[in-house]
Amino acid sequence: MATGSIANAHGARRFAGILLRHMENRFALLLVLWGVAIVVMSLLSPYFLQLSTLPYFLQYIPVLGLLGMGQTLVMLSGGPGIDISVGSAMSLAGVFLGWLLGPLDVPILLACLACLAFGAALGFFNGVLINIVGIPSLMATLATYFAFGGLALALTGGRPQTGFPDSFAWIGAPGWLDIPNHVFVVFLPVAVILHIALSRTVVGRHIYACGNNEKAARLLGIKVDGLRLGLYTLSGTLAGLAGIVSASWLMSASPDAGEGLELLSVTIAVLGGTHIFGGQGDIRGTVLAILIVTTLQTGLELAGISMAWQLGVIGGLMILSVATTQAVRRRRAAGR
Amino acid sequence: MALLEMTGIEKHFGGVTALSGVDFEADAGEVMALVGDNGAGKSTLIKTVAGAHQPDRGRIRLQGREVAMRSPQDAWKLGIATIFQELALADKMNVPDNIFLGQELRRTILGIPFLDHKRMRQRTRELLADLEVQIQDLDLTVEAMSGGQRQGIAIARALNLDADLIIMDEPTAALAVAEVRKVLDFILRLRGQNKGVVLISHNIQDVFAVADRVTVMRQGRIEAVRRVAETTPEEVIGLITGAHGVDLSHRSEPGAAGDPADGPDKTAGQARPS
Amino acid sequence: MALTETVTPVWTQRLLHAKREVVLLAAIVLIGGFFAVSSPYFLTLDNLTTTLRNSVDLAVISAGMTLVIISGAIDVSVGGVLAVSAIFIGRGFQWGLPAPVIVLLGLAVGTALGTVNGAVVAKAKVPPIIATLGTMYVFLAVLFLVIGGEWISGLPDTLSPLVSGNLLGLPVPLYLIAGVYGVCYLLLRHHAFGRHLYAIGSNENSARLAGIAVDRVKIQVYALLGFLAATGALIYVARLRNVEVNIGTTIALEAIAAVILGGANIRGGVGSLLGALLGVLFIKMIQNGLVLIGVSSLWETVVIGGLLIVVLTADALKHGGPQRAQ
Repeated sequence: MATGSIANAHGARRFAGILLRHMENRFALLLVLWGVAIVVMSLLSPYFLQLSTLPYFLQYIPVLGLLGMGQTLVMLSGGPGIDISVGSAMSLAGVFLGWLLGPLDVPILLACLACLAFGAALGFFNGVLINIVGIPSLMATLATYFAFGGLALALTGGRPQTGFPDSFAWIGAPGWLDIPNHVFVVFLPVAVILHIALSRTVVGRHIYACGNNEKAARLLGIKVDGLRLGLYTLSGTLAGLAGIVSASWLMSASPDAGEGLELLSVTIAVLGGTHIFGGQGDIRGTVLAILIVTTLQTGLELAGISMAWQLGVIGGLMILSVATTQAVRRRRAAGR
Repeated sequence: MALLEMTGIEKHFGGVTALSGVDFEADAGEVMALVGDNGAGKSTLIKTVAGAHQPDRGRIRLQGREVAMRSPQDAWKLGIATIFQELALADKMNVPDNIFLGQELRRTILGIPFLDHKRMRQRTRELLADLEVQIQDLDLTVEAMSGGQRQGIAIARALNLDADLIIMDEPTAALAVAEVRKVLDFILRLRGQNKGVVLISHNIQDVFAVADRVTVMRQGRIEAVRRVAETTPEEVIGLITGAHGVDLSHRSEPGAAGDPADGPDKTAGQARPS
Repeated sequence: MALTETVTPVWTQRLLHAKREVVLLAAIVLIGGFFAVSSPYFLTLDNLTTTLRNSVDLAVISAGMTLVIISGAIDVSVGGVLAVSAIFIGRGFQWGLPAPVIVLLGLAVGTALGTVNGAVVAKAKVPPIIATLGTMYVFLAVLFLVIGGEWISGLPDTLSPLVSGNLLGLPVPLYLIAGVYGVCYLLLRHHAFGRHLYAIGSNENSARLAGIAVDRVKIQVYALLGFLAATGALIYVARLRNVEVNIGTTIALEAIAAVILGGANIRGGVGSLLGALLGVLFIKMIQNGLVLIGVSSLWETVVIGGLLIVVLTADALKHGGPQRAQ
């Protein structure tokens, strides 16, 4: 990583100039944004571009990344699909894990698997409500947002679970180059697998088909409801995984661990180019969006600027990105 | 001076040219049919008149006065009532609400314009009776109603406007035989009231049953304009599909004799080779 | 067109719709009865009026949220609007402005923020959930900018009569609720604005083709919700006399829950003010009752979530399963 923010700024500006010509290419736009974010952050704080920042920066990524990728998949399949219960599901799964590893003293691997299964069950519940019973996704996941979050709070009395075995900390502990293990062991593999599954397998094609034209997909024999059900289950599993990572990193499972993350996961999916009504978007965009958001968060924190500012910038960014996509779409339709 | 004159209308969507250099007109006291195959541009043209699209080029004149309509509301206000193919009904609302959508009757109390539910219901009953549409309960939501009833409601809305120009896009497409008869009678009645009617239809029988003139569109252009009395269904179909050997020499020279763009008067009475 | 049609009994539709308010009322009575039996304090006038006084801000916001949801939109940023309006109110007190000016200032700020929401949705064509999510973050950032993590506290009680006062023997909040709901009801049922909201929620394209100024109506309904959120801010400040950092965090979702419980359909075109009000009272009663019988208030959200699931399931089953996307 280059040192010296001025040299970086020059390079970034040239780079941006070339890419601006490809503004309609979402991916390129996101790269530009990331570049801009890095530049701005490094200008804000001398600490930003140091190698030591890297682990600090990367540790936020997996939790948010997992939730964001799950959200992307849910949105892609259309419906419209959205899951605003992921934060609460993550908290509840974390609480479940804490219960398993603490008082019940279950072996770590088994407990993690059980936690994943639990997350899957939560996601499956959402999927059933939405695809079998027929409740609109925003409403169903709003209800489970309340239910899951409330359960997590009520069952723990609002107190974080502790008493995790020491060896559990490995997932969240610094590893190679001081980068937390979960980046390599959890985030990267999941991101790669999901990206390949989405872009190169038949299932991936089907997901895009459901999001693009549900009627056509059904007529082609694609089991739209089953597929969406599966994606909500996957979203729940990823929430469970996020709960494991978060618990390992903090060595405690707090009932509000996922607070606010559902909104952030939607933000990341949308920022990454996923269309809210489905059919458009991909994992790469989501990953870039996560990088942008974490860059902003890390940079602003290092510069001593509060959380709310970060959220404000992210919120503004999200609106801008969707508004420009819509504007581009309308210009295309109007023939200019 | 015709009731409606459109000249040089062009409309593009992305790379697709929906309308290129279209001249169209309709007169008061006449039924002008607009026919053409799918994709010919009929709906686009009509949406332009109805204010739902703005033409990229061209002019629209109503009774000689040039108008620019930026929204459907402008069109309604200028006395153009359009019954869209998709009917443009609000499914979860009841019958009076749909008929008076955008044209609500008000009753001012203390300076505040409240809705006049009573008058709207009364007028709804009158309109439906006039059109002989049977609807038992006016408070039913329209999504539960049959195609014929829904068409009736859409027509009632246009009728309520007391417009000068009524445009109907495929009004009989989804109707049973008796209902089709009702619609055609209604069109003739409008003509009798000296209103202008533009009828888009796939159904050549309907066209020959009520229309005075027919404009044929093909691939975004006006192919021909004929008086119905002076042509046959076969010729019209031929013009629609471009199958028969129509004399296209006029195309290469804009303004040449016999160019339909010059207006129907010039082509009237001229036999065309088929 | 002359054929007499037998339509599937849509009186059932109306029955179902009315049924929701009736069901809610029955549920309130039933569960209220349960609480009354389980705790001697529940049915006291004191407790009931206190609960009423605590429900005003949610009630007022839910009225506006009903209108927004009927139009097929949503607003998750009301908490942020309330928060920013509250800061201006708090600052107004700190600057020593006269009370009427403070009130106007607060209302103006809320309406302006609501208008921003409306503009982003109507003009920038950003889907409501995304737009209001984004604006919520921005509003919260503004909140931090002004407060910087510290409470504004120790505000004078000039506004307190709004919440704790009585007029003609009845609590003032009752008049507030009646006033707000009365006006909203008139707007919804007896003014063209309401028709337009239903139309846009039912089928936006049809509404546009019918000549309704869709963009303008959308901005107006968001502005109205902003106005009511500012009213909520006034009530909040009146009640607690401070402006703290985490105010209004959950009120948006609670309001949405109340409106849905009350019978509105998230897809738009259907909604009930009375239902929303009953939904608010129901939620507040549960919150109150649980505390009185010694159940941790942490179970509230579970109960609300569970209720929502039941209500939504019933709704969905009545409509015959998943609505196939058009």
